[in-house]
Amino acid sequence: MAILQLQSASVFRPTLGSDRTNKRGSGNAVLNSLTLTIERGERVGILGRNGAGKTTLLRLLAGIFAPNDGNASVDGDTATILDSGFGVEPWLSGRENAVSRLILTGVPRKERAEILHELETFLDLGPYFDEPTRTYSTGMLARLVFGMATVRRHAVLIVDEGFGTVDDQFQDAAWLRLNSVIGSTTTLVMASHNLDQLRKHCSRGIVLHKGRIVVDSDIETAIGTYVG
Amino acid sequence: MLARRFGNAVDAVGEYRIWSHLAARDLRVRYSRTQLGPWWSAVAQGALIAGISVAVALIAQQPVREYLPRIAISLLVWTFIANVFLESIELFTVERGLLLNTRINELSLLIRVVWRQVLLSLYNLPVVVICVVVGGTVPTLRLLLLPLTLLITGVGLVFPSLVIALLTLIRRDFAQMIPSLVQLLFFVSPVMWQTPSTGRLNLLSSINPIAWTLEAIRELVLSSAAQPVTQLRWLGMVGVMVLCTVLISPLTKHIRLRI
Repeated sequence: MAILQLQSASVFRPTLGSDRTNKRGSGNAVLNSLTLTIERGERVGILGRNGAGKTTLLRLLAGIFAPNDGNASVDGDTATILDSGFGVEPWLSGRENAVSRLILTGVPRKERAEILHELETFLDLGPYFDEPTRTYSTGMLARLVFGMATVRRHAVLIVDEGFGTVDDQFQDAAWLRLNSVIGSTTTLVMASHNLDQLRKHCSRGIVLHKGRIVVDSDIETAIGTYVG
Repeated sequence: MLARRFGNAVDAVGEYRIWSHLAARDLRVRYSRTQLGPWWSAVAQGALIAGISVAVALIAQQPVREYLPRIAISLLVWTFIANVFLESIELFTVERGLLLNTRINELSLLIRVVWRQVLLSLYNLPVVVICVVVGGTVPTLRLLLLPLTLLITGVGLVFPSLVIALLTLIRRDFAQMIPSLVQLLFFVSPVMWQTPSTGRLNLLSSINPIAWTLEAIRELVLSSAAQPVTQLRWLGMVGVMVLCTVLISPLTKHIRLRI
């Protein structure tokens, strides 16, 4: 059963010096007439060089962008880990930022306390969890944003690339948590340059080049084409 | 088609948990580490009213006391409107993180701006009550209508707020012009002056929606002989604004690609 579907979907970005985002013409095609169906339970890796349109495709699949042409449909409880650092307010404490993130992602009030407790344990920031995040070191901030981004489990998870700079000590815990989040999701769409991670988590691979799908096959074939 | 557009607006209102939380969070952040918190807004408003009153007394040789309630309500409403206009400038660019990482309805961001100003205005209400008392008017229950009138005004303000946010997204040049335009609106609106019954100023007021708003609210709250026609004109205008918001809301569909 299709959970994410694109039909001849195109996305145009205004070109430099032009603020027009016409359906056709002056716009610069970031994604060009993509047709794609992702079934429930599939685990899809997206590959492509910088500027190939990976992040735009993820945003389209997540329902954040609307296509200029064609159709995009999302059917299900979708979570995204795109820019994990968004929305961190330096004047608020780690706890307040976490609560804010939970509200923004639609977590019901009754579930928040339990999630917060689990997050606090995972982050291991001690009393700093209640201090303004402007007092955090880069590593502490990275812990917080990573922890907030991976706080919930969803049926569909859309993940973009890595998760910022975390200190070595936290790196292993972060990978463990990310793997656990990815492992517990039913449907996964993941864009990454990390081929090992893609091999580990995905069975299907899509290679994007200049906004078009050039390969849509099993992950090994897709990686082979991308590397070759 | 119209039903879908209304649906979009209804969806935005339905995201009340998000925009009300963000508005309250904005105030917490804005006044964090200050001694008075949002009450600073009331202090600033009080100081402004006091300063203007002294200036009017000295320059215009007017008995300020009797004008005080009128000035206080006018400034409360004007500050509310002007702040919504100014905080809508480049709003979509400022909220880039939210727009590129969540499916938040674009109209919710505008409602958040309006709601933030409604909350802030509530802190200013005691200043208005003090001015009414000092002005020699006995405070009546009509003063309680003030938050409601601000709320209704705010509903109408979503439309100009959306226009400003869209214009300043498309061309940043507009961001340079709008503060001056808002200042101009202050002078052409009867905030500090009273609309005469005839002449050019009367004509100006008759075509100025901000004047309609000011007059309707002042009459409703202060005058015992309020004319329903003034209030109906104001409510009608708010209704038209809501319709305009609904009609142009599809323009926000692709803004995430521009930011």
